[in-house]
Amino acid sequence: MNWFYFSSPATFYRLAGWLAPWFFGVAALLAAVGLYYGFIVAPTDAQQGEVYRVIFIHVPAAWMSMFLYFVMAAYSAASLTFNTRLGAMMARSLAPTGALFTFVALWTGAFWGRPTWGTYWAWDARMTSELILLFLYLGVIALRNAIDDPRRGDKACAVLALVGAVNVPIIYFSVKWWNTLHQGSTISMTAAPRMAAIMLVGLVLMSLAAWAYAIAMTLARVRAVILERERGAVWISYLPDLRLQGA
Amino acid sequence: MGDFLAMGGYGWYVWMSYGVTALVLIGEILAVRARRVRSLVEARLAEAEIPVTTRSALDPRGLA
Repeated sequence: MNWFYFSSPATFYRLAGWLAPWFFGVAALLAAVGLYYGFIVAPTDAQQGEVYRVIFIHVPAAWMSMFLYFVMAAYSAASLTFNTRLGAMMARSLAPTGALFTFVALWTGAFWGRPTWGTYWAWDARMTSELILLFLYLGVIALRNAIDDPRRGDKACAVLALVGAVNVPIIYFSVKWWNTLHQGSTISMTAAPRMAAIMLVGLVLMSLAAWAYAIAMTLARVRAVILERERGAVWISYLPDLRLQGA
Repeated sequence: MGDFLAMGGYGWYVWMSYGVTALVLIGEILAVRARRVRSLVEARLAEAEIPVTTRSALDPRGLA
């Protein structure tokens, strides 16, 4: 199979249009089952009471915020080295969804921290580095919008995204490197998870839902970005989308 | 139902977390949908700039 076939915006536009609704449907299904597990099946936590149920969005959102930044940095690196148009378009499409998950992680963390730690916010290493991640996402979006020449904007944003990637390991290891108010990780690659199995099922389902949602949103957004960037290209004038939509 | 909404006294924290997350996701979905419509309108406007000979001379209805 020739993978470079899909690195052309014209072919990827069709592929993304076919895939996005499927990922969106899978996300809705997984979230429905995950919320059922999170609220109905999983019991009350012995120490925290009901407030622990924030975990089912807080942890998936925090994971996605870091992971999406790495994916964005990887696409940025690809667009710089291979000079591909689609790589930069994908990086551009990932940034808003990444920023959104970062905001959700911070917001739900605040509303979890207040009853358990007694404060909505503290300047500890985990929270501060996650806040910097939000500013990096917003910086990438703002920089792109500030530069009129799209090719120059792509390059500047790719460099910013790559430099900012140094922050992601800092977030991840912050709870080990510093003495933080935020707890250490409950789930790691090397040891058994320190939480009840039924709660873990809800967490895994919600994490998979967040993955599927992020993929669906990025693919849907990249279609609009492709239309914006390839405007005036002949292949776009052949698109049936252009005549079917009432808009 | 009242017990469920009360969340053992933590209702404010749990529902502020889930409620704002839901609002943000709905907002993103609507924003992407609006961007799609806008990009289609702009693509159609830009079509006029393509020379007629290359545009759709062979395929006036855009079926290819």
